[in-house]
Amino acid sequence: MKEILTVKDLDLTFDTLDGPVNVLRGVSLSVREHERVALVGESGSGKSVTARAILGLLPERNRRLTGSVVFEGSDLITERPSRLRERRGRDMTMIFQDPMAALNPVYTIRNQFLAVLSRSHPELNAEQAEARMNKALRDVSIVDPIRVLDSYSFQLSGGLNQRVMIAMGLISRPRLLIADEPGTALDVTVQQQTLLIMKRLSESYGTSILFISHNLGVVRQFADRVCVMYSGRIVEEASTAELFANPRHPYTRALLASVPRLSSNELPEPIEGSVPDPREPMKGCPFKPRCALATDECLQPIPLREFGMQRVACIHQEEFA
Amino acid sequence: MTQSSARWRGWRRFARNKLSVLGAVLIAVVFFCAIFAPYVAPYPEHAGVVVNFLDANQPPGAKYWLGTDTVGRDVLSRIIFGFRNSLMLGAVVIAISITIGTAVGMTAAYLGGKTELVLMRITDIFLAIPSLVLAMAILGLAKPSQLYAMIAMATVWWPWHARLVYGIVRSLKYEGFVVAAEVVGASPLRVMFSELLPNCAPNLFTKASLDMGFVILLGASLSFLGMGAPPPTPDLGTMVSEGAQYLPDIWWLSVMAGMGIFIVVLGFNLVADGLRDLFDIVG
Amino acid sequence: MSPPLLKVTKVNKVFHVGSATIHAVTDISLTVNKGETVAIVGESGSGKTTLANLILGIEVPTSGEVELAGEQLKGRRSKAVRRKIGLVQQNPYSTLNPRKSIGQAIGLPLDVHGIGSRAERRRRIGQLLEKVGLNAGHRDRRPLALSGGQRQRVAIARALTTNPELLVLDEPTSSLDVSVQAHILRLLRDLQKEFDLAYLFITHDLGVVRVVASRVVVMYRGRVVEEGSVAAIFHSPRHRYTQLLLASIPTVSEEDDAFRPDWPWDAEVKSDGDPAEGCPFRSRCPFAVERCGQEFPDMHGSSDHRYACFNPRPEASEPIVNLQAEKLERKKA
Repeated sequence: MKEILTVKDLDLTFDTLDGPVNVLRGVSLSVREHERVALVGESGSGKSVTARAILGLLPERNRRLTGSVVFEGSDLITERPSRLRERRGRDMTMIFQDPMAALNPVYTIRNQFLAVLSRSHPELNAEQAEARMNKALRDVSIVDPIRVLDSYSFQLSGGLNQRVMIAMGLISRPRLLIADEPGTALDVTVQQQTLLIMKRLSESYGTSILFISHNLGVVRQFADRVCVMYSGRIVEEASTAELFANPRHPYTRALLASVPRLSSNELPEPIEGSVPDPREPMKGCPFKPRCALATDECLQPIPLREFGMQRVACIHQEEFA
Repeated sequence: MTQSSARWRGWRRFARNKLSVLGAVLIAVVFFCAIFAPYVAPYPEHAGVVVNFLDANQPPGAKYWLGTDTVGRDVLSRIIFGFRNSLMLGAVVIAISITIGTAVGMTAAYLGGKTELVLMRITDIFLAIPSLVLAMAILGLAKPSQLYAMIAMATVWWPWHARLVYGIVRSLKYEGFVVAAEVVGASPLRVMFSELLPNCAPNLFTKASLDMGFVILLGASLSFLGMGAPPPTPDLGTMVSEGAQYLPDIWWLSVMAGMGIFIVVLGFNLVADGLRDLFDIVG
Repeated sequence: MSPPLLKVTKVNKVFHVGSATIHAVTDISLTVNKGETVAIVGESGSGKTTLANLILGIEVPTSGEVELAGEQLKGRRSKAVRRKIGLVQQNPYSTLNPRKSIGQAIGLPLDVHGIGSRAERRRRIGQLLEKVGLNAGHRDRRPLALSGGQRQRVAIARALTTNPELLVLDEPTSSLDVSVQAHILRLLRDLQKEFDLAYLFITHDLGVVRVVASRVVVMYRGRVVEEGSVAAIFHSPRHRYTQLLLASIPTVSEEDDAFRPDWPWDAEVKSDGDPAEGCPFRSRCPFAVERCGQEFPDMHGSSDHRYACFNPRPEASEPIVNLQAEKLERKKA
């Protein structure tokens, strides 16, 4: 399958009052056609910043970004801002975590949807646009689209708003949809429904999805491939099945061990220590201070090594044959 | 981060803003003049009753740097004493106004219900009347004096503080830490003083700085209209008023006094923005 | 048998917002015994927050009673009663006053209740900080300097200041990373053992319920729809909403998958809108029968496991784990 998004060696540093803060340290990942890739990490891992860097949504000043983000042949980092604006919102769209915050409460859903539609399909007249919007809403399992279009976001539930956002994000049939913690702000039963809808639509529209999450369970249900981030770096990358059946990186293993299980009433294992301060310069593996297997060799820069279909940034792999 | 290192970061942020630093310098000069007026002014006795017709109406020159007024008093010295006057006026008015305004706004927002309704409607009534008109109306009741001018201005000013504090407390009253204090059993008074007031302080300080300039301006306007301190008290507004009739020939009286007002107001306004950075502890 | 520490009897809370009447909580009864952990599970609109507020004294019931240690709690609570209950809130970023130090935050209950001299208070604050895994030296820091997990530890320390018997924990770990949550859950368990605390643990996360609670109460739209021991309910959920909840959990392993019942996700049900009569879950329930629209069901079942449903899920004869394990075996063969 062809790669539609290739991120290579993305390095991002913010210049703050306290000095430079290196939030992304050489991030590389790719998304292929018809693929759903998850970027998993806890707070401070840099996963949300990565999404924003890909979309060009970072603050303009006080930051240094190197590396490349190639989307359908052109590097978005070197792209002209006007061209970037054109592609963003059409070929590559994003949906956000909190549907109530992402929709404007002073405009009806119809108004906002039309704004989106006029960018992707400027040739449609009013009637055709209405028909398109109705179909889009029905595709996300909304049974009364006209009522929804007439409403304001505060009149609708979180779940409905989320589905409206998905419909808007997919109406231009983008090649890539980036979803930042989809469903996190919703009730778990609604979240499940929403994810199933996204899965179904991505398959039928042929849209690839890059989604950011801190929830391993959601990732397992939803993604084809998973990239685990820690402290600005990707530490493991594998197919979902492989990752959960056979996690290789010590952080991935520790993270999985810290999730409460339904099958037993034992308390989950915490990870000792805390996330390193991004303001401190770092040598070698970021997880070393918290890792049971760490040795002095871990102070050397650790590349991502291949193990079959998996890639792991750890030199102690032989322990887990 | 401890309390003191947080403050240090605040000062650094303040220093980044060049305009605020300029404002701070201006204010420092004004304060210095105000505090040490008798020592800074070249002719301190000119702040009082002096008749010196020989040197009257001198343009700015070597002997009298900013010139003299119609009775021969040194303009520079009177401006310096005028600063002292203005600052005192501003400080007292704002202190009274903040006290009343905070009490009203916080009580209305936190207690809600009828209390809120009554207090905020009263505030609205005061706000509806233009400040100068209201001040003049109150002053019309008595002989012009510094004290009455201050009372009149505090009456005009407190509703703005009430509104400000009302807005802040309304947005904070359902925050976690307020609920936590209530659950523990803190009385409404304790919650208001101990939990809510510290959160209003940064905004109040910033507003106080902004206000200083405008209060002084309002005071100068009242004096200009003859409703401020009676002569011979050196007052910037009065000086502008006195000099107005002689423009454009004896220009230095009004212009220099006007510049004095300008410097004070500008200084406080520039600092106000920077003050926000100083206190900005992002919660 | 000793009397329960917390007893809630047929509590109702009705709000009037403008012209609308909202039944936040209807006919709720529950008990919490000394030293045990009871979980309240519900999503938004379930009424769990209102129930917590009623227990904490932030709201007063429209009807029904709340009793703590045998004493009926009225509108105005005495300071003695307030000392017996501690609260840990969900959001670590708003639970502490940003303009006060950690020491001041933890010391507030001591101040309010006039406990101890200045020196004694200082010592106690230091003690509490150590107990929750922080440094006593943290007392002069501002919340800004602390991470989410650390702030929650401070919140827990503050809740323990007056030696309470019951802690109400309202989604205490929902805003935390999962590895940090693991730390806090351990801390809570250790504290419970040491101080013989009872926990009323409100959460939407059934995984957390499984590891912290011995009993669970499932709430939907202000009503209790199922309650019982955690073992019984996870083994065999009866109410359809509980079934939906369990089916929605994003599980991380095949063993956990086995605990998930099936759910007909593609079944056509009306979206939104809560019906006025009968069971509020009706509008989302593919198993609803006619009676569901006429009245709210009474509780059926034993003292260990009760549910309010006219068409409940059939009782699982075998533990779900075994059934699923069979399926896995057959797949592998």
